[in-house]
Amino acid sequence: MVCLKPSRFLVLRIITVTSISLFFVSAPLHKILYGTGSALNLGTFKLISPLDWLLLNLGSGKIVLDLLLPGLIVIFIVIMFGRFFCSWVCPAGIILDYMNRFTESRRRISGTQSLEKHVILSAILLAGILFRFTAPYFYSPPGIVHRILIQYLTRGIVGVDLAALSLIIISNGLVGRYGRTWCRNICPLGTLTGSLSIVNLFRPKVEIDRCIECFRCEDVCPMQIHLVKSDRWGMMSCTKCFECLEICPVKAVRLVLN
Amino acid sequence: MKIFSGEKIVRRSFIKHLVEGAIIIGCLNFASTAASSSNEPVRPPGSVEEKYFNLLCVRCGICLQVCPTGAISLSGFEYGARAANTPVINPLCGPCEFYRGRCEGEMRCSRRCPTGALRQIGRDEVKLGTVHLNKEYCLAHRGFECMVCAEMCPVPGAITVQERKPVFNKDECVGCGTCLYACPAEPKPLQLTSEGARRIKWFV
Repeated sequence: MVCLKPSRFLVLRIITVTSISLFFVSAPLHKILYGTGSALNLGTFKLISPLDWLLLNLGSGKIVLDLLLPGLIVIFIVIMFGRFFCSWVCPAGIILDYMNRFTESRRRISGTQSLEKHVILSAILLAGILFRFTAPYFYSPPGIVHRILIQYLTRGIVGVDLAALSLIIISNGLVGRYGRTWCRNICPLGTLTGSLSIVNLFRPKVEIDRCIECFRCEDVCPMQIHLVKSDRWGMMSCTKCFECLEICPVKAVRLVLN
Repeated sequence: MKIFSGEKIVRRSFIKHLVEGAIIIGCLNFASTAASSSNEPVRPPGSVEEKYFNLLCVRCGICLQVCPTGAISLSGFEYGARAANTPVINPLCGPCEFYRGRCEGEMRCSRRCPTGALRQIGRDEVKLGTVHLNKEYCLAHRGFECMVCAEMCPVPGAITVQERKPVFNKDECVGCGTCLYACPAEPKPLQLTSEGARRIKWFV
C-alpha cells in the first residue's frame, strides 16, 4: 500500500514550486519579473532555458549574441548544481510527484536509467541542425504548465499545451509506474541538464560506516539512483528532492558539498 | 564500456538505439514538412522575419501576459508545426493599440520579449499587415449609415470616406485591426492578412 502522507520535503517543494509559478503568472500585477519556465526577463537581465538556448543557436546556425550571456550563466548554474531545477522549479515534475503518490507501485522495476533519453535528446538536437526544426512548445515541461496557466488566466482558453501535458502524464503512467518515469526516461530538458552537471554540488552521499543496507533510500528515489554504491556519474540525474535524507532510519545519508 | 553506473552498452542495444534515433528524426522531419503552411500569420509589432521568428521564439508566453488589449493569442497548428504556440494578432479578441490607445508608444510585448524575436522599433516603422474589405457584407455599401471603421481608425488617411462609403488605403494601413474589432456587421466584412507586413531583418 502506498504511503499517502507526504514527506516534509515534498510539502516544501510543492510550496516552493507553486509560489514560483504564481509569481511568474501574476507578472502583470507586480511588474517586477516577467517570465515563465522557458525564459525570464528582468529588464536588462535575462535567463533562458538551456535546451531552448541550444536549439536556438543550432537552428539558426549562428550564435545569438543577445542571448550569449544569459545562456552561459544558465549553463554555469546547471554545471554547478545539476538537476535541482527538476525538483524545485518545474511544475510538471511536481504534478507527476503528487500523482505518483496515489498510483505508483512501491517496488523497484529492474534496471537503472535507460539510454533512450539520450537518443531522444540527440535526435531533437540533430533535427534542429539538419531540418532547422525546433518545437520548444513540447520540449520544456515547465513552459507547458506556465503557458496553460497564462492562457487560461488571460484568455480563458487552453491550446496545444494541454495535449502536451496530458502526453507527459500518460507516458509517465505507461512507461513504468515507479517514480518520475517521464523525467527519468524521456524528458529532453532534464537529460540535457543532467548531462551537463559535471560539478554537481550538494549531492546526497551514503556514509558506508553507518549504513545498515536497508536500501530504503534507493526505493524512495524517484529517479531510481543506486545511491549506496553510486559514483559521481551515477549521481548526475539526482534532482535534489532529498527524499532519501528523510527516509533513512539511521541518518546515514548526508548532503555533501562535493 | 562503462558510461553509467551499473550499465553496459552491448552492440545489439547500440544498434537498437541507433534505429530508434533514426525513427525519431524521421518523425520530426515529417512533422516539420507535412504540417507547414504557406500563409503567414499576422505577428505582433517588431517581429523578425518569419523564417527566424519560429526559431527565436521560445514560447514563453510573456507577450500574451503583457498585452493590455488581448490582441495577442497563441496559434495552434493552423500555421504549421513550426509555428505552433507562437504569438499571433487576433483582432477579433482585441485591437493592437501600438499606434494609439492603451499601448501607445510602448509596445509592451516587444519591450518584454526575452529572446529578441520581437524587437523594439519606432511607431512609424510598424506595419503588421493590411485590412481587406469585402463590399458584400459592408453595411455602408449595403445602404446603411455606418462609418464606425473610419471613425475608429487611429491612422490618418488609412480609411477615407467617399460618398458615405469607407475606402481603404492599403499603403497607409498599419494593420492594427481597430476597424475590424469595432465593425458592427456580422459576418465581418473586413479581413486582416499579413500582406505587405514589414518584418525586421534578423541580424546576429
